[in-house]
Amino acid sequence: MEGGPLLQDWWKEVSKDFIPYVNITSQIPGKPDQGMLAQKGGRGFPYCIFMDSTGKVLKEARPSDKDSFTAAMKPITLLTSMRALVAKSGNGSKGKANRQNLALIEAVFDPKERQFKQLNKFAKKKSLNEEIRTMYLGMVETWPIRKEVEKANKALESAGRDQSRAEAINEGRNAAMYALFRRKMDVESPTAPYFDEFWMGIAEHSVRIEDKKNGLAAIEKMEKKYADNGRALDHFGKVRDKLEMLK
Amino acid sequence: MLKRCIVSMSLLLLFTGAAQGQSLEEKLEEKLAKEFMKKIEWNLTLDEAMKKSKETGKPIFGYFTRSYAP
Repeated sequence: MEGGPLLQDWWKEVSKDFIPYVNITSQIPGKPDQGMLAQKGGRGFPYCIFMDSTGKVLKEARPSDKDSFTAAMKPITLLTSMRALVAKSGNGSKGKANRQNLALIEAVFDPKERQFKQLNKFAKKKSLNEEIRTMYLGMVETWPIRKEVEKANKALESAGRDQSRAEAINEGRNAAMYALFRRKMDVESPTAPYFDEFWMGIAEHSVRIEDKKNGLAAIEKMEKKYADNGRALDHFGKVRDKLEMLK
Repeated sequence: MLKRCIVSMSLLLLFTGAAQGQSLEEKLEEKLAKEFMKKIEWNLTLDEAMKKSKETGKPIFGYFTRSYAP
């Protein structure tokens, strides 16, 4: 990364929209911010995240290319600009709209199912920000997927190095993705959250239950997304081979 | 011949070990001098970044890396 994207001109250009912070773990006692990687949810290097002004982690985002990075940054920019607007706005109708916009975009980052009913009402209002509305509705649409993925991630954390338990958890998540797919759930855009977990889960579960047609369709989605990533394609190729062998 | 080889190997290991032992500060300096550090103006502490984020309303982008290993 340091020899690639972080040297590009597009990187310099987009950096004007955020405050860059580098955390270098040096193992030198007394240096500031040492050990922060784990505090912020990182498990290895390099680790790239967006944070708000209190240091709260908002999203993981690797700067691999301009388009995907600016797409990942978009909701962050909307959140921070809406927070600033709300801080300045009064109690009038504009202030109310700003607060409702903020509630919707906050929910994109930190969804609470019990709030969906009220937020769905806000999302119907034409006076609200169109981009925020689209992001909120996208989040609600993929909520069942997110819930399953987060449940599995939490279980994986507590499984630690227990390999057989981890495998069972992964299989459970894949089966859940497949079940959601059969219930007509879709994650269309490759840049959408949980795209990988969804389609890879379907492909791997399809191998298990011998559903060649849907498995191949799912692995094709992953191959298209990672067309330039040889290592990823090697892995997908192995899953594809297993699917091709099915009747 | 074998004796000379063992002596050379020992010297090499000793030299490498010494280089590794003294190099944490140097490795950090090396990291800080890298091209990517010059490309944009990085903040080196989160406190500093949070202060600027509060002032500007911009989010913080955190890049976590290490200097102690290649």
